[in-house]
Amino acid sequence: MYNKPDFLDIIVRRLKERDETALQYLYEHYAAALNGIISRTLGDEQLAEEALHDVFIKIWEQIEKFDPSKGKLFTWMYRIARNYALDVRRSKNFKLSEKSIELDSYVNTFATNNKERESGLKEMVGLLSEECFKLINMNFFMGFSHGDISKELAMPLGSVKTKIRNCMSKLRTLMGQKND
Amino acid sequence: MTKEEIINDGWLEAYLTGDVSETEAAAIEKFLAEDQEVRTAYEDVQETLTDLAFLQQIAPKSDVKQRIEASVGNQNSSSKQSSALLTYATAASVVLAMSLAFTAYFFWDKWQDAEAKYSTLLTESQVLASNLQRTSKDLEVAAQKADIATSPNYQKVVLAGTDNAPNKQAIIFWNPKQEKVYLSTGNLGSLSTDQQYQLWALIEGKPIDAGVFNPSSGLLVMKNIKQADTFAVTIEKEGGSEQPNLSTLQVIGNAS
Repeated sequence: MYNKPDFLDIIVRRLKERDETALQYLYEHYAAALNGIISRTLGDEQLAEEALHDVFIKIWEQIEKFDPSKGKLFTWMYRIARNYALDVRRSKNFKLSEKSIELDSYVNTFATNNKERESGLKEMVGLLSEECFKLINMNFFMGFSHGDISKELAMPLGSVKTKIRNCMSKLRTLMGQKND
Repeated sequence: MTKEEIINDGWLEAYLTGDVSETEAAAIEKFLAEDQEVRTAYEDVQETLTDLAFLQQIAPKSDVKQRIEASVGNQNSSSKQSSALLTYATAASVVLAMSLAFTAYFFWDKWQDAEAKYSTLLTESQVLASNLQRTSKDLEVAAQKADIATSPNYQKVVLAGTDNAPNKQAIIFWNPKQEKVYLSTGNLGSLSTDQQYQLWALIEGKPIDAGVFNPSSGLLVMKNIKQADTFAVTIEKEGGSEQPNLSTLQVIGNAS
């Protein structure tokens, strides 16, 4: 049987042997997902695409550091994308006044450029509480740490952690039902 | 930190984004290494985030892909490949010089003899070639087809479609002892004339060319393969490539 994890294992080995087509594969399958994270963290399409380029170069250059015993390949790439977008946001060139992330517009972060996906997503937004989507998106897609969220929403740190955990569990259940 | 706290209080989510201190990370990693339940919980968190990231994807609009390929291509060509080629060329020329000297020294007195043998061999090879022409490969395959499909010596490997071609399928019949590989091209579609499918045998991720092919109704004889843990088919330029273009991967399957 076709086994996806095995295949990603091959992709990683080919990357380590400097096979550019393995990087192409990663780009074709993961660039849009990573771009969703970078775009929401930076709030600027053009800056996001520059960052996306740099993130893929980092993936190419740092593949030796990927340790499958510590997590999945996507998680590793996600962390590179998230950290790099945060670095860009913290850098001098990024003028926070111009490109500040409008918290109140977090619902807009669901907008994608794929209509079909958008409707599937809205379906789930309806099933999950607004608070959950806000917390999950701030934390995982907009680069807010638990501490940032605690300050921003005036919520105790412990509650932020536990709520995000419970929201992720609910989301997992909902997605499981949708996939079945 | 107890196991229950790690799973239920959001520590795995914090760990995923790197939102933990070094001490906390070390404690979580210890549980991840030792406890299956914690490991499963972390896998669930990773999968949920991955699913959501795909749902919320935003396709990049501009030429990012080409710019990445250009950056990476420059790095690659300037360092490894040229030196590898040089080494290869040097090694090849040394081998060539040695074998020439060897031949000259040991066989100069046997030249006449060798010439006679050569002409005999030439005649023999011409006979063999004409025999080969008469033996149609298709006929041979047709005769063996039934045997192969039912033989216990042949391992059947189903190659299933990848994201690039979710509904495609092909089947390999492989006899590792005799190293023979037959391919049924299944529902792989026809390609433009400057492209061909190429079969690869992968040993621990290293690709070995198993021959190019076009879709066919019969069983195709592919190159002999001694060892493989995975078979895969990509689309390559006509005549095939030295390395697979993984972004065109069509079907893949694991040999058991």
